[in-house]
Amino acid sequence: MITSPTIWISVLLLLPLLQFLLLFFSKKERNYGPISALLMAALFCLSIYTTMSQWNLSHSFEIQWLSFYDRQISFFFLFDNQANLMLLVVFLISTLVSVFSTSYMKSDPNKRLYYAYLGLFVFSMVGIIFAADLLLLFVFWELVGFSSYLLIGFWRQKKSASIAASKAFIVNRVGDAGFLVGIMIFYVVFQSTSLTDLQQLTTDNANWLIWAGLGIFAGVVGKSAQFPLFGWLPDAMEGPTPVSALIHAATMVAAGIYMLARFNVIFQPEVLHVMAFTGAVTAFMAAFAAVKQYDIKKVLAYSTISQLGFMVMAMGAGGREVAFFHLITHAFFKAGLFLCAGSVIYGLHKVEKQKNTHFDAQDMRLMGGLKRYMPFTFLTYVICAASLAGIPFFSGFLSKDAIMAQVLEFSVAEQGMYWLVILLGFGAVFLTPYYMGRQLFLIFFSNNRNPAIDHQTMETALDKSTLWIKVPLIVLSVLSLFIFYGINPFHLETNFILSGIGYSFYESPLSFWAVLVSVLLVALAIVLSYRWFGPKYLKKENLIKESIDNGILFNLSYHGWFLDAFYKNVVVKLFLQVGRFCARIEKQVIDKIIDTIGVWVVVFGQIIHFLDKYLVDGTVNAVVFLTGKLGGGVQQIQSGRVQSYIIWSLLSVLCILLWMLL
Amino acid sequence: MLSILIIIPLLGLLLILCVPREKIAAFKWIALATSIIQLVVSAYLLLMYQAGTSSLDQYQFGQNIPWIDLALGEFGHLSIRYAVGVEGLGFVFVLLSVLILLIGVISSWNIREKRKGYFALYQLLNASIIGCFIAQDFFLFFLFFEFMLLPMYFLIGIWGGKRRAYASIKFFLYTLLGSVFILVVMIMLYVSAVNPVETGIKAELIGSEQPTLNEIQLVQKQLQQNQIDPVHYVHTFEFRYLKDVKNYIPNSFLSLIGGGNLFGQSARMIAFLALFIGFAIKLPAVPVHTWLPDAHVEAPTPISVILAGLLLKIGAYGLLRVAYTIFPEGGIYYAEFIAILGLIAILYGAFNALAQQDLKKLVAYSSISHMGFVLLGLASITNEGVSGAIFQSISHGIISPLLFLLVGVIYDRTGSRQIDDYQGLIHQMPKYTTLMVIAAFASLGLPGFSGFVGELFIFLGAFEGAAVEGYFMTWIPIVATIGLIIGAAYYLWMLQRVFMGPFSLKHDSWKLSLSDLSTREWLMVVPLAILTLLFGIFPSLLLDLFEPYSQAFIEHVRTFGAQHLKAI
Repeated sequence: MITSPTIWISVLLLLPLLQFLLLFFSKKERNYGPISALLMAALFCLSIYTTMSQWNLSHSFEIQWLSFYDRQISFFFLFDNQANLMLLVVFLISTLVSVFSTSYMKSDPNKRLYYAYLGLFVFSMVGIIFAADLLLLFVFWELVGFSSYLLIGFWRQKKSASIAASKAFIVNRVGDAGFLVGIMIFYVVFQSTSLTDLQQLTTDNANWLIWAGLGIFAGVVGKSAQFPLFGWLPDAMEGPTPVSALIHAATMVAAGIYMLARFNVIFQPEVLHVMAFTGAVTAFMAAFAAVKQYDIKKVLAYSTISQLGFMVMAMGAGGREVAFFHLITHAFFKAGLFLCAGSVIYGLHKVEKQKNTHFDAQDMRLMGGLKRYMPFTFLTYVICAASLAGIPFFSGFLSKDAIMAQVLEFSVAEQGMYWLVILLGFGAVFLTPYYMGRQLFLIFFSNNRNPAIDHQTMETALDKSTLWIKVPLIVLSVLSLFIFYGINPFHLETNFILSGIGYSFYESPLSFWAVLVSVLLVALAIVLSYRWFGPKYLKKENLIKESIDNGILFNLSYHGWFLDAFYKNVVVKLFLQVGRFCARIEKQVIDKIIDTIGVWVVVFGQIIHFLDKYLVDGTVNAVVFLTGKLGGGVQQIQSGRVQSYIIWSLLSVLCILLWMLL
Repeated sequence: MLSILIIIPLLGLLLILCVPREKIAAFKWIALATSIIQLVVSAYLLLMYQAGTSSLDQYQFGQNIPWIDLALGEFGHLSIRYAVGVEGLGFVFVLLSVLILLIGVISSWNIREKRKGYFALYQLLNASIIGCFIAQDFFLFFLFFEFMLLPMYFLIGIWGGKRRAYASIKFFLYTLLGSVFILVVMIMLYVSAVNPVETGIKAELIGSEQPTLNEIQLVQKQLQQNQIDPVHYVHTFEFRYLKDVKNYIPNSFLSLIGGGNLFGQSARMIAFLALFIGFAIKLPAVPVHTWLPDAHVEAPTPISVILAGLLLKIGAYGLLRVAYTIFPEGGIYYAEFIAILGLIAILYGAFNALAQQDLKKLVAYSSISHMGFVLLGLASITNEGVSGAIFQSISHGIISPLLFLLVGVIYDRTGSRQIDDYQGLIHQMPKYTTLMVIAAFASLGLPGFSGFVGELFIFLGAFEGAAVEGYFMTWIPIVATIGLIIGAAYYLWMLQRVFMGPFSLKHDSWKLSLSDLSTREWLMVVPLAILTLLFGIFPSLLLDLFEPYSQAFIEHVRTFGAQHLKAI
């Protein structure tokens, strides 16, 4: 039966696809940004409407995809509160990103394709949101990967962009292979991949369930950039910055978290423990790596990885709801940060064009003092960064401290090595304001360190940010304030998101301690980052010195724990070596054997030919000669034709003999 | 009805032979016309086709008339019949063949040399490929199977690239070797099995040509109890009699009980292996695959298209139709061996593709990898696995021609297929790049394309065959997923090197000739791209055609396989 939620799901899903198809096949090149923004805004309004009317109602429907005689493969869609919230996030941010791109991508020759790909991305993302079936989820999961591939490699003249795009897709495929194994296990052993069936799983086959859970989690490790597969995300920053905001910070990379929250029931405690560890390790490693980046977007990329680590860690610690809450708050402030960074880059590109020089507009060593020229961007940046850092009265404080409380409880309950989880978590909590402080200082404070530009050009180029750029920044920074999530800035009780997805509140004495420790850590980090990254650090000479005269810690951070180097020099090289090895086997073993056989067949043929010519033919000739003689002898008595019969019969006898002998 | 599909190209061949050599333009039009008529006929067949009624014995559009009938005295009779017809399996392959052959003609438009010979051979190839998929008599099948070699050999050997002589001889010898294996089994089958209907008539147990089931069973019973005089035996090649052990002469070489032994194995097992090797060469499976890269690289584009799109599929078809159906116990007994071979092909092919410099070779090795999936799916003997193997065959029959055609496009323009000779082609040929991206992602199994569906079914089926049925170890399908990763790696790496980055070519002069796709090229590639999308999004369109067949197939292989294994 067609119910109105079914229609809404179809509309929400298919209109972005339509955007992709129309723009992809359209022949006209123009700025489709406003159209795209309008569509996304309309869909955002629709999802506000569904939130109003469908809150706490859940709808599901099923489409049969195909059937074998003994079983069917169907796709299940589910429209519930969690989906609704995620829809709001995705459509709001895609609206803002479309608005922002209208200005940002104005001069790109291929902007038609850009908006087409955005449509494809939103389509696949909405698919993930509604999918209540692992197989269906996997389909959209791969499709977001594909649209991410297209968008990362969007600037096709940049070689590094296409390398980054391939890398992202392949690394994701590694995780997806695990995902597929998980699907195989669920489909075969548990006979279903749909959420409704999986909710009623008994733990008879606990072993299989653990393996399946680990497989699915591997998919999350790929998509949500967890250790050890996070290396693709910093590289993904090669794509246009609005894309980074939408896909590689707010939505797609969070899809893994969304999925974990939705399919939470399938994960056995053993898998959750692995999750908690992975998340903690990721959160800390990435936060550490963010400390010494110079590329403005790479800091944010590592910070995203770190925040995703927080979410995964919370998920493993049993905090499904708080992890999801953090997903939402993070989506807004991180998208805000990226768009701010985009605004900075956009401004510097304009400077670059005006001065007709070339410099790296993303290198923070060439920035500094931008506060004066971009006060608006500065303000929004500070708000979003404060939220990220977890400062009270901002949204990030609420969600991050909820996570820390949950994790502390988990560590206390599990004891032993699980203390490591909370320790790493606190480490990351400390590092977050630290690296964000450094970034703020580098970009906005002190004086400009770029020798190529002067005060005057900066003034003329930077002071007019267009409305297209300003509006998204305002919206996102406002959404980074606590007030949208509940009226109490310190307590989650009034939080409508958490209550909407079934969070049960209870006062735990531990949560107070968790909040206290993290607030203290944040305060300490802010102080330290001011001390170390203050005016003295910001001098150009010192920055240069830092990047040349560096220690092991610097390198570890700067090179992202050398994970990339490891993959590049060990894993990739190994695969290529195996490939070359196989190609060598092909040529030097298999083909050689075949060729040798071939040669010997020819040689054998020659021998036979030789024998044939001299032995067989010789014999035959001799016989013929003799017969001829003989025939000549008896010719008088017989008619001539018989000789040929004799020869023929002899020949055939010979042939038969030869055939039998051989 | 089906015979028309063979008669049309043969008529076309006659016509081509009648037209004088000087009228060079006529030949391709004749070839095009025959292919289009075939397409129309098969579209009609598709409308008439009833998917639900397929079982292993119920052929549609069939024809079964005596062809060669020899009395051999005390050895009984020899009966070879012109038996054609399709069940689900053959039908989808016939449809694929008609389509790919048509596209092959369009792709042959630019053939300059010796057109008369080329298109004459092409018609011969056309007839024998389709004949292969509709023959229901082993002898007839083998005839068509062998007949394919001849035009193929000349098409590669005359119109091929630099090393065409080597490649064509290699192709010929390899396939001939496979044929020898098949031939031996065919002869063994011939001496062992009889046609119960004709035997019954000769022995006067059956009155009419349309016997009842009871009458057939009576004949079979008497046959098994040695109550029929060997003089009355009518030896047969028909598939439908060969698959039933009750039609085998007691104590004959391939009979289940009291059959021969070879190398300490039951002769039936050895016969299965021989058939397996014969068809594995065609498939091709590692390590008997090395003819494929050479043949592909040397063959002209349309022939590569047919080679990848159709000839390889005859290997898969033969495995299902002949090896598994006639000797089901072999399929179960050797399941693990076959699954491992499949796994090796998947990984080995993929690794090789990673190391290739030549675009065509890359696609050729990816073919080997993808046909490895077919083996893996078959080995599982589950509905998902076998349906997946068939689906993958069809899907690969669409995608790899697409890839070969696309590679042919730049080869036509510059004469080079080396990856290093190109960079950033997207700036020069955006439409071409789009299609290449579609083809590559279709081939690496992105959801939404048919390649994904086939591989998904195969993984599900293989895992079921391993974990539930226990035919082979569970790690085999799990390790096979690595093939997906490498698949993504070699395609994306290729795309990145050839199409992305700043535009540069090995010779600047190429720039003039590198124009984007022409109308004729659009006509070839777009239908294929649309089909792979269509079957990827609505797989039932294809699956429903053959699913009843694969269901009947599984049932046959599982029940009889288990029975026979017990008996041995």
